[in-house]
Amino acid sequence: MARAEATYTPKATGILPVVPSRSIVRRLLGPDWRLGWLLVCPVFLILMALLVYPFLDAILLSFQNRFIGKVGTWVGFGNYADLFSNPNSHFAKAALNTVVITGSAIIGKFFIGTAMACVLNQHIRLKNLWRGLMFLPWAVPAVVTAYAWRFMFDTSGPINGLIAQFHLRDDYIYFFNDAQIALPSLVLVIIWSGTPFWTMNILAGMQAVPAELYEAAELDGAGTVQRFLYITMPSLKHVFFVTALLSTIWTSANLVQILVLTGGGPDYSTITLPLLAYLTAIPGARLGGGAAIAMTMLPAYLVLVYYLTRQMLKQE
Amino acid sequence: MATVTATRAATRKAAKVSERASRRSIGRGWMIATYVGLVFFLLWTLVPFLWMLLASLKTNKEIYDDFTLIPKHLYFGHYADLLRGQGGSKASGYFRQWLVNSMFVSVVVTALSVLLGALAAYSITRLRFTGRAALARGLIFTYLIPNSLLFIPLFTIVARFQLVDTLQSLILVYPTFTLPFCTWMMASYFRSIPIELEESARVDGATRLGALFRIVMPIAAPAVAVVAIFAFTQSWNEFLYALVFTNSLASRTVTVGLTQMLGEDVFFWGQMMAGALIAAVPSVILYMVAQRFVVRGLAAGGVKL
Repeated sequence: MARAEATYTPKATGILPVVPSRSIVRRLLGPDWRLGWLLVCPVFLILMALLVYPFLDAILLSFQNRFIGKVGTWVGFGNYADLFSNPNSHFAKAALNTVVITGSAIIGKFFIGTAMACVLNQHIRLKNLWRGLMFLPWAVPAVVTAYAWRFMFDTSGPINGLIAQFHLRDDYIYFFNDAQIALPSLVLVIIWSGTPFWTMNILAGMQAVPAELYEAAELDGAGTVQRFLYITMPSLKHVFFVTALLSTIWTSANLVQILVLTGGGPDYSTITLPLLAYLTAIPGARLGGGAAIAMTMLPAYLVLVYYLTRQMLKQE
Repeated sequence: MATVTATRAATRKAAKVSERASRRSIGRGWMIATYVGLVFFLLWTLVPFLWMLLASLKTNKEIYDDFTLIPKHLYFGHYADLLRGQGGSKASGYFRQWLVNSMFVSVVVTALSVLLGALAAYSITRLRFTGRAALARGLIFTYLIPNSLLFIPLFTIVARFQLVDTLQSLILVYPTFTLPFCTWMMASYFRSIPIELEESARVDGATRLGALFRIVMPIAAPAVAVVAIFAFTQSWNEFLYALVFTNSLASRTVTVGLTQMLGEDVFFWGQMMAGALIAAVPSVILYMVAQRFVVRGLAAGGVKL
């Protein structure tokens, strides 16, 4: 990028008179440093003050015993030790659920998203309309669709309504009162909400595959399945990688659906780490304890972000 | 301009070629499978929305006493109650206030993000100074920090400024997720604008900022519009920060307000579904406007965000 721009400098284009800069400051900080930093300044300061500083503060906070409105006291690894040793902390359950929910949701979104993208990539009538409709769960607030699903699973909702109508069971299914059903139902809703993001990325990736590849394969006698397996899927490797990492970060961090549908219940059977952090820190008023729970996710995020930025910058 | 038109024509031509290729290649059986898949995925996506819409038009008797899929008469009472500030639960009286709150926060945050993002994007793409590459990379990192790691320390900041339970707290905090995205998107668009246009303006005596606002921004208008739409929808849809930083019914945004309607033992489903649909309207309208840019934008930028 630097090279491409060098050819655009006034010197190279010969439009402006050449004024060689002799100042050391300009050589060290670059010719446009004053205006450059001035324009970046607001964004830089906001992100430093409200992203980087809180991020570091969260680490410190997790080593303190701090209640809302009080000054904190340093407790070292006390909060962390409590998470692992106190059976009432529900930490192990939350960590396990976070992994199970995120993992199964990612697998579900991968398969459904790929299938959806395959359908939308064909030449069907009114393609843009179908595409627009299928991306709706991505466009509307997550709370809205979480409510729609809560009603879908409710005793006065359509599923139980149809069961009663056709006398399939004697009793309603209480989806979110039974730990055995609550978790899979939750995963279904999370998959439903997150699939459009996958479809979008996969579809964009499919449209970027050069047509010559397909033509060449066709000349070699490759069928539809073979072309999908040996051309489409390998070409999408990068897209799958980036989408999976982004989706893992956002799915594991998200708590909207869980909060609306189960609130972590019944009896903490659907609790996850972000939800436990929220419940501990805000309704429970224990900021330090909540920060410690959130921070246990940090190592995993660092690994994900490392691979993700490497991949994203490589592509640039 | 001419080059832009030429590349557009080329992509259109390429699209036609690939269209022909795939039309020729897919068999009849696969075409049937495609339509079966289409119907399945449409049902999968739309059934919850349809149920929400139908329920919002039923009377309470139809919802609770006799199970009906489709309302016998369209009943608009739930919508009317909410928009008149009445309703079954105490919370639903605040519904109009929540809409106003959401609108206020989203508009202010969008304006700030587009303006500050454009300045930063211009600086990163056009000005030469030490540290700009690091800044560009830093943007990705900041974009990827999940909000569940940030809401607790941000809450302590908001509390320190005595902004708990105010809309200002949201205006302060929402740029943390809109700004990296806006800056990044505008920077990648600015890069595609030929620098010569600006240079000739500067030869004619325009300043840097003059060039930005008179030359670059008008050319980038479609990108600016899309970025603004994204920033607005992200702010409108936001949930976690609004849940944590506000606590009185009067200062909730509409996404959090909806959860307050649950409260009591009885669920007013009809009214809640009506409220949820109203809350979705701005996002859906803006999404329809920006829809054609969504896939194209992602395709153009790779999946680089």
